[in-house]
This record gives sequence, C-alpha cells and structure tokens, in this order.
Amino acid sequence: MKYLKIVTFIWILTLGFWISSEASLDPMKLGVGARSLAMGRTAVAVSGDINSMFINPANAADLRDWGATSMYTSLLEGDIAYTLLGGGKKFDRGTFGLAYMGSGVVSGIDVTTRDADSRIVSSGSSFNYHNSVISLVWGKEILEKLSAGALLKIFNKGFSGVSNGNGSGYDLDLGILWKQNEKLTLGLSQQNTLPISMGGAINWGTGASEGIPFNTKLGLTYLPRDSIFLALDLDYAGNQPLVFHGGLEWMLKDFLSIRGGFEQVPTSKSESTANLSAGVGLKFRGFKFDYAYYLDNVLSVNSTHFFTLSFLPPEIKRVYEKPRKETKPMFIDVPSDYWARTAIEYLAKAKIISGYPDGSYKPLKALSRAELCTLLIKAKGIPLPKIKGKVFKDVNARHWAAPYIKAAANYGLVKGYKNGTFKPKGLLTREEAIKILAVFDKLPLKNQRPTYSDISSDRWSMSYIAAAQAQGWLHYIKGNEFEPKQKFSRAEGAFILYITSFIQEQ
Amino acid sequence: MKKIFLILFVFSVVFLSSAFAASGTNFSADQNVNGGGGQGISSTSYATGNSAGGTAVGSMSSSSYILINGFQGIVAASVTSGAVSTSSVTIESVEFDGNSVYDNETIQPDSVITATVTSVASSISTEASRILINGTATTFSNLTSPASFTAATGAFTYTLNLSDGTHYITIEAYDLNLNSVSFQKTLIVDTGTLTATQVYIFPNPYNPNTGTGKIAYRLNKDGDTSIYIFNAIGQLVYKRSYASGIEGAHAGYNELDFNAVSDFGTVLANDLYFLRIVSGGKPIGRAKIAILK
Repeated sequence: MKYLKIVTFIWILTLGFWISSEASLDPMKLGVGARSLAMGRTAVAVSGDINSMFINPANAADLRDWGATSMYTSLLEGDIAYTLLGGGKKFDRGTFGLAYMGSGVVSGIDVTTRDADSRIVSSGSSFNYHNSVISLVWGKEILEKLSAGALLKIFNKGFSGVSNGNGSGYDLDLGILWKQNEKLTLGLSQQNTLPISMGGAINWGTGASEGIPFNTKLGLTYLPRDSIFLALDLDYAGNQPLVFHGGLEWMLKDFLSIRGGFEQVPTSKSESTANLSAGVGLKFRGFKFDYAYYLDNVLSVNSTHFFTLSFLPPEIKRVYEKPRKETKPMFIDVPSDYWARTAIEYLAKAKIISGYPDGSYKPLKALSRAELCTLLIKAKGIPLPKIKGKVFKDVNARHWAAPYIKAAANYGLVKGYKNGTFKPKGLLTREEAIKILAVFDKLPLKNQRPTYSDISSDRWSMSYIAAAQAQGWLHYIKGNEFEPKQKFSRAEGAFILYITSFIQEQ
Repeated sequence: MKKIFLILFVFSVVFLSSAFAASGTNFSADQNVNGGGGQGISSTSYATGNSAGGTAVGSMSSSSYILINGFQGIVAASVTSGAVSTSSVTIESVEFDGNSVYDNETIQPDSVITATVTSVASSISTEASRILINGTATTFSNLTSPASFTAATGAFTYTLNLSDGTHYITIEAYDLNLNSVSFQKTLIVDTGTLTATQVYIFPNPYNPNTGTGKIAYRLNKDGDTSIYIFNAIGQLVYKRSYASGIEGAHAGYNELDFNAVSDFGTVLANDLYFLRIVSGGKPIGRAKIAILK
C-alpha cells in the first residue's frame, strides 16, 4: 500500500498536459526491440520481453533473473543509424536495468553560403551530429498482480564543429503494470513526466532550453490461446492526435514466432497515417533473434529493417501456457485454465503422479512426506531397493511407500527424525518441500536472501528458497511473502517437479 | 581672264575642302545625306550618320567594333546576369519562364524568354538587333508570332524549342546610332528523369530566431515537387508541395522561404533533420538540416 501511495502521488504530481512550444526529440520514441516494432510498436503491457522495460519500466518486474539485449536499425536510406545495448538484473529491491541508445556520428552536414550571384551553395566545409540516450530503469512487483517502475533518461546530442552546438539533459518515465490474470495484462506509462521547471529539458550551449514532450501510453495484451498474443497500445502526446498501435504474435513452434502489426503515425496536429509492420522471432537456448520490417506509408523508401539479439537464461515458461491444443482436461478438478494443468497432466501421462479413482487430482491437497519421496524416485527412475525389515520405526516393509522412502533416504533426499521415525503421513511445509526438491535437482545454493519479506537471513531454509527463486520455480507465488509453514500442495509439487532441469531434459 | 581664274580658285577651295574633310580625323556629316536613316551622332574622333551610303549589304561585329555598311561604330558591352547596357542601350532583366538564369543552369526546352530592350539615345534597330540560338540568328525584324519585339515598350519575347543538351543563347541589341549590348548564356536542357541537385538550407545551422531561412535546390526541368522534412527518428514533421512551373518546381535554381515551423505548429527543436525533395512519391534530392537556436 505504501508503494501504491507513492506511485499514485508521483503520478498525480506529474500528470499535467503541459506542452512546450519547442519540444526536443526523445530518440527512445523510435522503439526498443524488433519484436515490439514488428507488432506495431506495442510495448506498454508486453511482459516477458526484456526490451519492453525501456518503454514501460514496470515491465522490469517481470524479469526473472537477468537478461541482455541489443538492437540495430538504419533509417532514412542510411542517413542515420541507431544501436541499442541494454540489460537488467533482478535484485532484492527490484529489477534494475541499463541501456544505451546512440546514433553514432552523422557526418557531412554542409555549411552553406551565398556565391557572387547570390545563389546558395556549399561553403566547402561541414560538421557532424551525434545523439544518444542512457536509460536507467527500476521495476518491482509492489502488490499482487501490480508492478510499478521508473526510468531515468539522460540525453546528449549536438553538432561537433559548431560553436556551442551541444546539448544535454534528462527526464523521467513512470509506469505501472497490472496482470489481471494469465491472459490479460494492462499497462500505463507516462513518458517524460518532468516539466522544464523540474529539469525535464535539454540545455544547449547557446543558452536555449527545450522541453521534452510528455507522452501517455495505455496498453493491454491478451492471450486468447496459448500460441496467440495480441497487443494494443494507445498513445497521446499533447499537440498530436490520439493514435493506436496494434500487434499480433503467433508462436508456430517453441522456437519460431511470426508477427504483424499496424501503427498510426501523426503527420500534423490533426492528421495521421497508418504504417504496417511484420516480423519473425527465433529462440534457441535462451538466445532470441527478432527481425522487423516497418513499412513507411509516408515515403516507401523510408521503410526500415530492425534487428534485435537478446539473451535470457533459459526459463520454463511453458507451465504458464495452456496446452497447444484445446484438449479435454485429464482430471475433473484441474480445468483448462488451471495454472499447473500442464505440469500435472505431463507427469500423469508419464505415470509419475496419478489421480484418484473419482477422476480428481485434488491439487490443493497437501503433499505428504511419503508421497513426495514416491514422486521423486519415480521421476528419477531409480531402481527400488529390496526391503528387509523396517526402513524407519514407523515405516515397515509392508508400507506402500517403503521402497520409495528407502530409495529417497539412500539418495540423500530425506532423512528420519532423531527418534528414528519418518512420519510418512506428515504433511510437508513449503520450505521443507523446497529443500528436498532443491537437493533433488542439485540447485546451487544461494547465500543471498530471497526477496520474500517473511524469510530472514538466519532462517534454516533461506539458501534453498533463494536458489529455488533464482531458478524461476516460485513465480506461482503471488505477493511478497513465501509463507514457509504453508502446507505444500499436490499442485505445487507437480509444478516444481515438472520445471526441474531433470524433467525438462527428458 | 581674271574672273575665270577667280571662279576656278573658289571652286577648287570648296572642292578640296570637302575632300580633305572626308579624310581628316575631325569631320562631321549630317544624317540624311542620301535620305533615310536615324539621328546622326558624333564623337571627338569621328561622327557618322546612318545609312550614309545606302542600304545595308551586311554587317559584322565583335566585342570592340561593328562594321555596318562600311562604317565603324564603337561597341561597349558588358554581360551581367541582370540588365546589360552601354551608355545608352540596355537589355533589362532577361528571364526564362519568368526566372533569371546563370550559366550552365537548366531550362525547359520550350522556355519563353522575356526581356526589355531599350535605348536612351535612339530607337532600337530591329534590323540589327537579333537573337542567336546556337549561332543561328534571327533579327528582331524577322521575329514571327508568338515571338515579338514591341519598339514602343521595348518588350521582347521569344519561345525556345530546344532539344536535350547544351545551348548557347545570345541577344544582341543595337540602337540606330549603333550603340549595342549583348546578353549571353550557356544553358542546358534535360528532359530526362526529374532530379534535384545542390539541395541546401541557408544558413546551416539555421537559427529560426534570427530570421527566415532559405531552402534552395536546382531542378533539371519543371515538375511537381514536394519538400518533406523528417526528424532524427524518421518521423515526418514538415511537408510542402509545389505545382510544376512555380517557384520550388521549375527548371533551374529554386529558392524558398523556410521558417522552421513544423506541421504540428511548433518551431522545430534543436536537432538534425533530413530534407527530401520528392516527386512522384520518390526522393529526387536530399540534404541535412541543422536547427540550432
């Protein structure tokens, strides 16, 4: 709530439709990421894309660990080209990102004069131009389903070889993102919120000070199907008409997506034109290559190619996706849009887990110690040992889970209590289960504290929870608390087992 | 006997006076010795009238003299882009389709030449004055419609009919006293694809706060053109269109006012902009414009 108040306050403070009579260009309006550009330059609510954080900083909260990106484009038949390099990483206090976008040096700008006949000619000398912006971004999930962010931009541009020909300045973007559910996301971004009086300007050596025009962007994304992604943005800048952007992405394969989009571009105070775009995306082991072709309706020779290469450590996103084909759910209590459906059905088909005779899975039922041992041993395919006598005081050879408990103990996954019991019916807490699963998947332990407010640095399970969070296992937990004593559910067990590297490599 | 010698003496004096006067450095003769012609002129060294010996059988001229009908006249000519004149003969502001031109500029193949040809001292001689197109001369007296020369006003009009290539256009104007002046230009006709060259803004960098800037370029022929200006991320911020033949869309040198006010109603911010001369939806010329206040 505190964060929400702060965000709201800043928003109100800067939400003014001020218009500068001389407004300097923000080169970030070019767009970031060929994926966004292929989809009509939509980006406000496009989560899961490292580039979108530089358009709506609230998108930074979606970064699971770290990532890097780059983009290149050449505009106006090669007259000017832009390169972007950027990256971000998630920390306790949120995700921080940094990007540099620059035009390089544009040379050969003629100094002109009048000849003896008073005709305008080149004087024979020329000067150069450069333009760059550095972006510092922060984003964090502040409430369940709600993220906020801020982006500081530092501008530098000018003409070398011209007296007092350089200018620099800064401005601030703010953004929020609301993930209503796994299908629908809404975003709002206020770009260049600082008026000149608060420093939002570019100051030139000549003494001129020019504001940077604010821009309000509203966006939404919707996933009608697992493989279809729709995005829509609304753009408003004070002295230009309201314009729309729209885009569609179709994931043909895990590694291949095709995209299309349209964008309204203002050409005067009251007029706009529509440009189309298209593109393709390829993924391989965390690397993503995106290409976009932007068709310029104003002057077709200005149609432009965009290239982006980015890297995100491989993550298991498929559990958030619905099955490719709309098949009938396997269990009566695991519906089509259940968050862990894919994991549950995959493991059931692999006969690692099973349902109940009544056709249910009982996803919310707590997992017992015996049940988890059975899951893990079945998943590993470890041969079951012969049981002679008791495994533990309360686990004799006739216990249905005895072989699995024995194997798990031999494997080092579990051990009994000091009094020699195992308590096979004992219900696992979340932190206990995470520890067992972390050992099962041999996660490298993290000495840093996880971001959950209820896990202190001296808690016995801290490093296991941190490792699980870093691995991307815990995104199903909404909010700021891990709730370590909460009973570990069958759904959680299936989900985390499914996304372990061991299962993913099968 | 004495009376006869006296008469012969007087007659000889008169006769010899006339003869020597014709060959000395200081002599004068009035016009209309044999009738016709214009006003007589004189200088410190000579004077001669018009048509003193009869009709013209030909003439030749150079930059220093004109020989007409066996008599010499002094020519003083200066070729400038505007009016050209001697002490009394003037060719006022020669224009091609209403535009002044310089050497090696392009013109339309059917350009209409207009000028004003005047003389302070006497009327313009339509027999002597002429226009030469690549050396082929047409005297003012032989101009046929629509070409014309109106003596009362000095208005001269001539419609060209040129093929692609380089052409030499000369206008020579004489008055009745043989004062003359000439106008010469080397011009180019190119009816190929419309192109814009030497595209500039002046000054560059341009400060809109110091006055109106200028956009200048050369076209090889008349044609509908537009000026597009894009900002540094390729967005259109300024667009103007010009119909074929008017300033901004005629063959030769074009110069247009530019005040750096965008189509969004604001003065362009300090930055680099990209200008395109566009015709038929395609860029035919380009320049980079720096705005710096």
